[in-house]
Amino acid sequence: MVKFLKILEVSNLAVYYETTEGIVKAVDGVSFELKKGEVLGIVGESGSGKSTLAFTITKLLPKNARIVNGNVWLYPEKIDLLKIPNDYMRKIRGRRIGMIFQDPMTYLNPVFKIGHQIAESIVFHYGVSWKEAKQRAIELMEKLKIPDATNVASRYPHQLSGGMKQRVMTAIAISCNPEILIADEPTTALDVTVQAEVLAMLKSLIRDMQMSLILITHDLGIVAEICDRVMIMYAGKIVEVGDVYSLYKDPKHPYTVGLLNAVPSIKSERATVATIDGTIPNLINPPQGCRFHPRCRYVWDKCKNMEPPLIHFGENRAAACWLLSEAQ
Amino acid sequence: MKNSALLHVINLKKYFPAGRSFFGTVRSYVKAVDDVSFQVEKGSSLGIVGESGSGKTTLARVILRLIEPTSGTVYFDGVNIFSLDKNELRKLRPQIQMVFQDPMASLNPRKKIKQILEQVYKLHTTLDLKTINEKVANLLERVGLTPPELFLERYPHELSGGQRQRVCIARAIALNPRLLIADEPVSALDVSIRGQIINLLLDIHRDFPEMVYIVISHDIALIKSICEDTLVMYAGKVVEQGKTEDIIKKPLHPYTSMLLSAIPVPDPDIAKSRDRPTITGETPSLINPPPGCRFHTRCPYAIEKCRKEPPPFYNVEGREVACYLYEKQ
Repeated sequence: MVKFLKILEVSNLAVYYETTEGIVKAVDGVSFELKKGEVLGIVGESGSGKSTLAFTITKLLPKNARIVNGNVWLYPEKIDLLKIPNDYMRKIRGRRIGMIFQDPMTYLNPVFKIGHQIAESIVFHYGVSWKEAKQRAIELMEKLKIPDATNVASRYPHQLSGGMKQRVMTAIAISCNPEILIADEPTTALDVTVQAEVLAMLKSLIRDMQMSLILITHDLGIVAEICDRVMIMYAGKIVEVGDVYSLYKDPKHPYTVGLLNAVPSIKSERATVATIDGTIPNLINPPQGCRFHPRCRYVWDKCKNMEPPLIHFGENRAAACWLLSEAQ
Repeated sequence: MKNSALLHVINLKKYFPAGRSFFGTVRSYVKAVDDVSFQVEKGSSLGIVGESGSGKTTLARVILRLIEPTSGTVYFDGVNIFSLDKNELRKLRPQIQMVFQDPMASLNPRKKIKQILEQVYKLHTTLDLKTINEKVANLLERVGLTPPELFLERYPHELSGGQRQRVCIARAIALNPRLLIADEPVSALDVSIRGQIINLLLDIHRDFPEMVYIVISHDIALIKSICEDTLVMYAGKVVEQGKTEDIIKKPLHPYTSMLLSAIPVPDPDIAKSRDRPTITGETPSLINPPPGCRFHTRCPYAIEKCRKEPPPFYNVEGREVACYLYEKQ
């Protein structure tokens, strides 16, 4: 299996937003790689920069965003997505990189029928006739287990339930067999039972189509279900990265530890829930040094003045914490 | 047993008119809450769990009498709250309080935190301003907004989501209510903040052991950390009720087991190895709910009977379950 081929590389990326209150450093020095067939989870709370990351890779950032630094390379050609003109990007977006967003209702066009919306990208990227594209759209919907696909294809988005709309979004995203699928909180708007169905669908898609998936979520449970590797973000920075098994078993960064403990679990016996004190920092004036230091229980002088780099250890693990450099 | 029940809900129904004909007669109804009965003892805590459209929020609103029921009764400490007139209801209000899901939407953006909390005392007590100020400061301290002076003069938009929810909780407990209903109290908050609010709710329950908690959520793990008892709702009906621990350990109703198995477990070893029952279908329309048991369209064990007759409650291992699977026992 060709699972280890590099397919996407993000290097030293910094994206800032210009707002009336000041410059928001949403993503600040993020680097990572995605391999073929890999499922990478990006976990973070609101304001951690995880969605900005997704919008940067797909070049769908709002107008007030500035890419200050960095590269996004798409392999094997090593195209820098941040440097290519928009025309070229349109050929990649949808064709080689597919996207699923959090709220399917805002991303589906309310005035076009479902079948038309799925067929649209097939027509655009493959240049086939509308008739054939619509036929392919129905086949796709059947593959995603949308019951009564022919009928659903002739309906409008508002006539479908949330889970069904998310399946339609997925059908659009995978209609051109992309190599990379980016899913930004794909199940947050759904009920748990529907969420389980959508996750099962994504899982089998990746297996069958040899797709790489970047799954952006705040839910560590979902990551454990389907991801191979996980990247934890905090205030625009990567704080920890590693394969799911070892990272969940032995988290190193105090933020990761806190996050894993803060999830109330039906299995736990504790009477109270472990917490992380304090609040998420303001990204206009992020704390000096390590951005987590005001909330960290192991904080010492160094953390307040110097920013910790990602320190690599073990197999494929890294964390940005001064505690690790001391231990080594 | 009946005497110690603070809240007793009997055959409560709430139908919302859904479509009207040309002449204004109602053609169809959304049966949001359909024949729900339960009781809550003094000092206990009840979780109501269900997915969107299961009627859990409507149920809470009817109990608060924010909306009028279609039929049924709710006894609060022996008093039928639907028989009360405006003045009597006003006297009852301080005893039943609610914390809503979205703290930003439930705080007046034009009022300072001080004004928001003062108002509660001004409306319901005859205390003088000095005592009120003291009480407000104590209240802020109680919910962990310290020092109070830092928050008194601020507006809701100047606080973070977690802090706003603390203000909402402060307002709800200001008059020592006997019943506190929290509707999805943490789902608008970030994961690292949720724990703080859950612990605050637990702390407050320890301080006011007489107070009854009703927590409404789609997240059974949240309910487990706060409530002893749980009521599982599906499409406007109660399907199972009993001790939270028992329900989680051994769900009896097929819907409950489906709900539990659908929750992602934050442990890759368990998550990737366990077998899950395949889940199909979605919550049914409440305008034309399926006849018989409302879950039969998604139930792997459905038999002929389930499609025709709604199942009654069977008492199994100290729990109430509405499912024909338990008919024999």
